[in-house]
Amino acid sequence: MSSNKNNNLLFPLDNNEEDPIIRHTQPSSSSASSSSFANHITFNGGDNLHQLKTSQILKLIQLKYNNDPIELIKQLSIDVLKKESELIVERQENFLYQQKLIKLCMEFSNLSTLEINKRINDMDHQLSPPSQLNQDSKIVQSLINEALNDKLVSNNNNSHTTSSTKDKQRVSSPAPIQLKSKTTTIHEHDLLPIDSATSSNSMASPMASIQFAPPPSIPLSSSIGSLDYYKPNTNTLMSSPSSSTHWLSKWFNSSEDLSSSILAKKSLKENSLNDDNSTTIVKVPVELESMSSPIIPELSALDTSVSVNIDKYGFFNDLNNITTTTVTATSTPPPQSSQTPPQTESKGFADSLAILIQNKIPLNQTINQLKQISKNHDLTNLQIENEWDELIRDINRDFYKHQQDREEKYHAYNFKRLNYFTTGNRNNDNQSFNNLEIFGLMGLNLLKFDDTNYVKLINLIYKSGILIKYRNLLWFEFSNGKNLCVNGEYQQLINKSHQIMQKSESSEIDDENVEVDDVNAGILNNINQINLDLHRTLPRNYYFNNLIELKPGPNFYKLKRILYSFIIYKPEIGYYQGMNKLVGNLLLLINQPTITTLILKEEDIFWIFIGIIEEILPKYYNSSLKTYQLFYQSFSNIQLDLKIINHVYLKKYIPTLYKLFSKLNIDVEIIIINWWLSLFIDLNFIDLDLWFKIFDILLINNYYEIVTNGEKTIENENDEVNADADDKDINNNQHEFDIPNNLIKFFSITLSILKVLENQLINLDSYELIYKFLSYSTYDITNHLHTDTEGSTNTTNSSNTSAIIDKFKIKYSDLIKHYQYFNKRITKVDILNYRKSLK
Amino acid sequence: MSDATPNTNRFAQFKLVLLGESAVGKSSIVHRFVKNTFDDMRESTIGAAFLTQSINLPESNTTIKFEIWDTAGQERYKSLAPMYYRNANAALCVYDITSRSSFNKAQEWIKELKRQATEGIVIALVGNKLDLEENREVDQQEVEEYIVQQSAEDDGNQIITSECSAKNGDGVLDIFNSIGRALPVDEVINAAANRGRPAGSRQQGGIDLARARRQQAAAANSCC
Repeated sequence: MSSNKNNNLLFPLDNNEEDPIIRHTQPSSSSASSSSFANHITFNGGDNLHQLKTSQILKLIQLKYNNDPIELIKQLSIDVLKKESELIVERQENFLYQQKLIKLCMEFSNLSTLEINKRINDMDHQLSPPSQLNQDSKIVQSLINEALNDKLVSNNNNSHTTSSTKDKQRVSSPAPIQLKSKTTTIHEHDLLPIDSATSSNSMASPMASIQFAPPPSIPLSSSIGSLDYYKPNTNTLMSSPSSSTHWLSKWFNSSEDLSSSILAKKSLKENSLNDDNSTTIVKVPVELESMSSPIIPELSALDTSVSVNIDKYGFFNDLNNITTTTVTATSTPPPQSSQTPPQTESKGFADSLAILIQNKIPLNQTINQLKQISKNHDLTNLQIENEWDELIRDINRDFYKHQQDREEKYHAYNFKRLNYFTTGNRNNDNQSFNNLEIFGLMGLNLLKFDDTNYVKLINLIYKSGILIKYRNLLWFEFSNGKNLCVNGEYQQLINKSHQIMQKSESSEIDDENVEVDDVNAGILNNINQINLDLHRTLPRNYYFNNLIELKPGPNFYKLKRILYSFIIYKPEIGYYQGMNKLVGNLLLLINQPTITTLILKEEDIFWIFIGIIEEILPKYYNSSLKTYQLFYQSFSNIQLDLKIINHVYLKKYIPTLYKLFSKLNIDVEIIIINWWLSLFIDLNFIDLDLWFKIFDILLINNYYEIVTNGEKTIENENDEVNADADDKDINNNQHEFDIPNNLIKFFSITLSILKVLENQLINLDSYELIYKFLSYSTYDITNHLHTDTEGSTNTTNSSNTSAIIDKFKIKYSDLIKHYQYFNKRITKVDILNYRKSLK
Repeated sequence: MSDATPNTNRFAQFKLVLLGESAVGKSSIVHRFVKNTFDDMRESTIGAAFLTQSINLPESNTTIKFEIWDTAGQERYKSLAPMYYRNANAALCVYDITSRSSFNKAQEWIKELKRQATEGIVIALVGNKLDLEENREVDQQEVEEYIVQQSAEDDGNQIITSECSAKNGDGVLDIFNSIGRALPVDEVINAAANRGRPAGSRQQGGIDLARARRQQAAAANSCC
C-alpha cells in the first residue's frame, strides 16, 4: 500500500540516493499530492512518534513497514521533506502576498520597497520569533507603533529637550503593545529618511482630518523569512519543522553579519557621504522586487550593497540635504505636557498626532484610527488595482474576440482586402499576437471596435494615472514605440554610432584637418554635447550613478546609447538638452515593477523616446517650409503660444494670478518656457510620480476630442462672431488648422498647474519667491529660501517657507480636475485666431 | 534700507544673467556664490534657473541684491537668450580655462550683448575651472589682448575680467563684488528716491541706466 502511494510522491521512497537538498528545492507543487498521502497513513511521522512507547514503535514497524526500521526512517524523512515543502509553499504565498502589498505601497504612497523592507526587517529584529498565527497582526500593530514612535523619537532628537525621555514614556505608556522604539534602538540615521517620506506624504493633508494614511501604517503581512525560498538552506533539512522559526532567525543573523561586514567595507568609502554608516550597523533593506524578477539583473546589486537610503526610483535620499532640512524645519517638538505651547504653523503628520495626544485621546484609539485609515487606504488602492486589472482583461478579451471575428471574415470574404486593413495582423496567427498593438498610438486602436473600453480607460487614467504595473505596456503602445520598433534597427544605430566615433578618433589622431562630412560633423557635435550631459543626468540616482561603488550605473550607459542612436536616427533634429532628462526618466520605467509579460528593454525605451518626440510632443506647422516641425525645432512658435497662454487664457480663467503677475511685474512666459522645454521634469512642485502621470495624460488621446469634437467646434463658431473672415482662411489651410491635440494638452496642463498653485502663489506676494518656486531649478529650493529669507527683506519667514514648499507639491487629483476643465475650453480655432492676432 | 543718503546703509537690486558654453560651470559659479558649496552632481540646466543673492559693499555702505538668471548653455537654445538678458544690468560670460572653444563662445556672447542688450550692461568675462590649471588652454595674456582690442573698438565700455574656481571657491565672490562696484548704484537709488519708490524693486533695475555709463566705466577701473 505504501509503495503504491509512494509512486504519487514527489520523493519516492526507493530513491534514497537522491540528494535530499535537491529534492527539497524542487517545485513545491508537491503539496497537493503529499497531503493526500498524509491522509492515508496513520500518523505523520515526526509529529508524535517520540511520544510512543518503544513497543508501539516496534509494532508500527512490524505492521506498516514490513519489519524494516529503515523504511520508517525513510518515511520520517519524507514527512520532514513534505513539511518543508509545505512550508515553502506557505512562504511563497506569503512572499507573493507581501510583494503585492509592497507594490501597493509603492504605487500609492511614497514609500519605496527598500523603506518598507527596512521596516519589516527592523520589526522582525525587534519581535521575539513570532508565532505563525498572529505574526501578521503583530507586524501591522508594530508598524503603526513604529510610525507613531518614529515621529516622537525624531522629534525629540530634533528638539534636544531634556525632558524628552520622560515624554516618550508618558506618551507611550498607554500603548497596549510594547513599543520598540522607546528603547532608543532606532538610530537617527534610520529615522530621518523615513520621516521625510512620511512627512512629505502627510504634509499635503490638512492636519485636522487624517484623510490620507501615512505610509508606515500600511499593514504588511508575512515575514521577511519568505526570502529563504530563494536561498535554500541546508539547515532546513536537518531541523524539525518545529524549529523552523529558529533557523529563520538564524538565517537573519547570518545575513545581518554579512551586511555588517559589507557595511564595514562600504562605510570606509562612504564616510564622506554618510557619516552615520561608519558607526551604525544598518540592516540591509532587501529588495524583494528584484529577487522575484531575475529579468532585471542590475537590481539585484541592491540586495547586498545598499545601506544608504534609496527610494523606489533609485534616488539616493541620504545624500540629499533637502529632505532632512525639510523634516527638521517642519516637524514639531515632541508632544510635551501642557507647558509647551502647541505648534500651530506646522502641518505634518506628527502634529496631527501631537494634537490628538494633547487632546488626551488615548493612544490605542489613535492606533485604531490609524489602522482604519490604512485599511481604507488599502481598500481604495486595491479597488483601483482591481479596476485596472478588470479593464485590461476586458480590453484583451475584446481584442481577441475581434481578432477571431476578423479571422472568420478573413476566411469567408475577401482575402486580400482584409489582410490589407489588418496590417497589424499580418500572419493571422495567434502566435503573433504579442506583436500586435492592442491599444495603439494614444490608445486609438481601442476605438476600432467600440468606445466603451476606451472611455473606461481614459476615466481610469484621469482617476489614478496608469497603474505602475501597466505603465510599461501602455506607454510602449501609446507612444507609438511598439509600432516604430523594427527588429535590429536599434542595434544598427548603435553600431553606426560606434563607427562614427571610431572614425572621428582615428581621424583626430591622423590629422585634425581630415574632412568630415557635414552630417557626421553635426553628429560629432551632438555627441560632444551628449557627453557633457551624461554625467549630469539623474546623478543622484543609483541606476545612473552608483555612488556606493563609485561608478556609473547601468542606466548611464543605456542613456548614452539611446541618445547616440537618436542623433543618428534623426540627424536633422539632433540632440537638445532636456532630451537627456526625458530619456533618463523613461529609463526609470525599466526599474519599475511591472507585469511580467512586458519588461521594457533599452531598445523599447529608445522607441518610446522616438515616439514621444515624433508623435506626442506638440508639433508646429511651418507654412514656409510646408511641413510640420517638431517641438524642439519650434522655439519661436512656442514663445508665441506662451503669450497666448499668458495674455488670453491666464487672463480669462485665472484672473487673480494674471493680476498678481502684472502687479509684481512677473514675466510668466519666461517661467513657463522652462516648464515646456524641460517637459515638466524637475519642477519644484511636480514629483516623479506626478510627472509620470502627466505623461499618462499626454500619451492618451483626449476623450473630449473624439466624443465631443463636433459639438465643440459648433460652440466655438458661435462664440467667434467676428471670426467669419478667418474661418475661410482656416478652411483653406487645413494644415495650419490642424493644431495637434497635444498642444492643447500642454496648454491645459500649464494652466491647471497654475490654477492648482493659485492660492499658494497669491499668498506669496513676492516677486522673487514666485520666480524661485515656478522657475525650473536644479538648485535645492529649500535652502535657497532659507538663506534668502533670513538674509534679506522678504516678507515670508523661514518657518513658513518649508511649509510652502510642501503645499506646492501638486496632487494629481487636483491637477486633473482643472486639466479637464481647461481641456474642454481651449480650442484649436481659438488658438489659431489668437496666433494670427499676435502676429 | 532705501535711504539715499550716503552714510546709512543703501540697498539696490540688479538683474544679472549668466551666459556661456555648456558645462563651463555657470550653475556651479552661481551655486558657489549663493550657497558657498560645490556639488559634483549638478544636473544640466534647461531653460534657465532663477536665484538671488546679496552682497555688501562696505566702502559705499551699500547692499546689492542680484537677481540671477542662470541659463542653459547649449548653442541650440541660443535663440532664447534675449528673453533672459532683456533688461539685465549685468552679464557673466563664462568660459572654461581648459577649453578654447568656450572662450570663443564667451566672446560671441559679449558681441551679442553689446549689440542687443541694455545699453550700459556690465559685462564680466569669467574663466572658470581655475583648479584645473594644468589643463589650461586659455592664457590670461590672451584674455588681456582680447580686452585691449575690445576697448579699442568700443567707446570705453570696459569688460571686467576674472578667473575663478567654483570648485574651491577661489575668486567667485570677487567677481560679484567687482560687478557690484561697477553697477550704477547711485543712479538707481537716486532715481528711485526721486520717484518716491523703494530702491531696488525690479522696475528700477533696467531703467535709466544709459546715464550711468560714465560712472560705471570709472568704477570698473577699480576692480580686477
